[in-house]
Amino acid sequence: MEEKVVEILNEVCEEILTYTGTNMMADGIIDSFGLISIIGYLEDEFDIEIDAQDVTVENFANKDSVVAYIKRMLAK
Amino acid sequence: MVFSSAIFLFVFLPFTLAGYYLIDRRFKNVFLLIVSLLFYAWGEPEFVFVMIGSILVNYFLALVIDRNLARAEELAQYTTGLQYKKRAKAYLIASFILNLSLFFVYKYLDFTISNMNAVGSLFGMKPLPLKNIALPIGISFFTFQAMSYVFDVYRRRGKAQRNPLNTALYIALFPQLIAGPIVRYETVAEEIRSRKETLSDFVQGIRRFIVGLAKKAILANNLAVLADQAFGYADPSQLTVLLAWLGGISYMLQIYFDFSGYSDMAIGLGLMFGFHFDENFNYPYIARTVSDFWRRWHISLSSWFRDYLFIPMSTSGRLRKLSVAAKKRWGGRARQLVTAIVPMAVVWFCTGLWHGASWNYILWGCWYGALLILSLVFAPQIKALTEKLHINTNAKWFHGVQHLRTMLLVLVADVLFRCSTVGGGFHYLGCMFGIMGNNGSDALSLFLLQDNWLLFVVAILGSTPLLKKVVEKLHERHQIAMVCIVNLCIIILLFVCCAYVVNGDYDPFIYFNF
Repeated sequence: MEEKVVEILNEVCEEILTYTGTNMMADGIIDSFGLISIIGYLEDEFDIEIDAQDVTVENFANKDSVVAYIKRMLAK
Repeated sequence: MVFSSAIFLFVFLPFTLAGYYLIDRRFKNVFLLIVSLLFYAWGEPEFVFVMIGSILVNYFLALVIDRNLARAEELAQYTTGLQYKKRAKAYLIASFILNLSLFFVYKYLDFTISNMNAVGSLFGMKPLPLKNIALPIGISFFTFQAMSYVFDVYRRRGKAQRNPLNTALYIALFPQLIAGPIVRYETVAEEIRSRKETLSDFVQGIRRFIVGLAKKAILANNLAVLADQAFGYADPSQLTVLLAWLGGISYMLQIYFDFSGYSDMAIGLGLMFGFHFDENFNYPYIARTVSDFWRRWHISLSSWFRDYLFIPMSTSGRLRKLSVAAKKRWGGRARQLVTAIVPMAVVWFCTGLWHGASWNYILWGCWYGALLILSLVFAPQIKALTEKLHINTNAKWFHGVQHLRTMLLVLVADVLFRCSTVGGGFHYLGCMFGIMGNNGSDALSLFLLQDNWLLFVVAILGSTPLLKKVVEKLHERHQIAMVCIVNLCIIILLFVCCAYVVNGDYDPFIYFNF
């Protein structure tokens, strides 16, 4: 699962993989389009529906937080 | 009341600070609320009741949403839990309708009527009378804050306030009340309940306030003189190319120092009272792309639209179905584009409309929306072209070209923003490019350039992080000396600002109109 998430993040923006901060949107690593591209790919890949309420700074802060979020979603 | 007025600086602020720090902690919020209402009522006594009405409606709806969500969580395993969740969503929609209705009546009713009359006149219909409703100052800011409150309670990003005075304080807190930044509820929810004022924050707040005041009183107000002269020509053909550019660039710098100066003052005042507001500007004029510019300009508004409109729309069921259908037909990229373009078009139309009930603001929003959508759609082609031409996109010259292009696009937008009519905006742009039969230059334009070149140099340098970087670098080597120099400069700035405030004419902020 983790490899697939990393692959998706790499496809949208490879900088995410080396980013270690806590807010990739505010730090200009990705823009709104990048964010919803990631959401679209994740939904297709894992057959899930990501709700707007889950699109938070905490869940999409960096690579690790996205991986953790998808883990939680799949565990539901 | 205006931050850069003598009454605020010499009466309101000292008494408010003294009262706030002398009063017992239990009454600090009530005290801040009373002075905030006084601050608002100073210029708009009748509209303070409009704001109080908005506060009460949002207070009750947030409480009802909170209770329904709590019940939904308790009964999560039963079908009744889902019903409570649906009820919470219905109250959320009701709050949005009520807030937007209030916003519409005060801001857009006459605009709508006059447009209906224009269309009706084509069919020979009798025009409807205009209502001539005055615009309550800051309504765009406090309505968006109120919506942020209800939405964040719904998203569980902050607890609903049990005490209505705390809700009122969040919406009416005077530093951000009339011209932002739009403070999101989740960022100050805890600080409204309990906060700790520190000497370090207080000192930082004073410094920040003085820097903001200097941006407004020294730079923005002086740049406004030149901008007003250029944009004030009744006959655009009299405007020379040189003066049109000077006026456009002056306005571009004026609006930055005016609005970011106000935001600095608001953030500084917040710190003095123990609140930590998010930044609203991050050197937007160093941006190399329009997208980057909007990550740095009026951050509180663009992030409001991103979080409360763009993302909910992008992830909505209907758009998801549409994007999946697009993917089946045209491939994966079509899905991405559909989920981005539709909400982007809506967001930028709304951003333009938010600024004012006038077609020039809508055109301004659509200009930015079109630029961002086009750059998105043609991104692969642009990338392929730069590769084909063997352009090193990391080269400094390429960054320079990108920067100049972005500033030109922003300048065009600012001209459309400044002119009160769409036709006036196009005329002005025509003058800038010399296609209105106007002269290239004349004695007045050259005199204004010679008279203002130093102001331009200071303003352009001041809009970059250069000074900040130099101070930080020197601070590393000469810590004590730099602390003394910076504080001395701040004190001198304060005296210069006071002189401007006392001697200067009353000059309201541009964003007070919104």
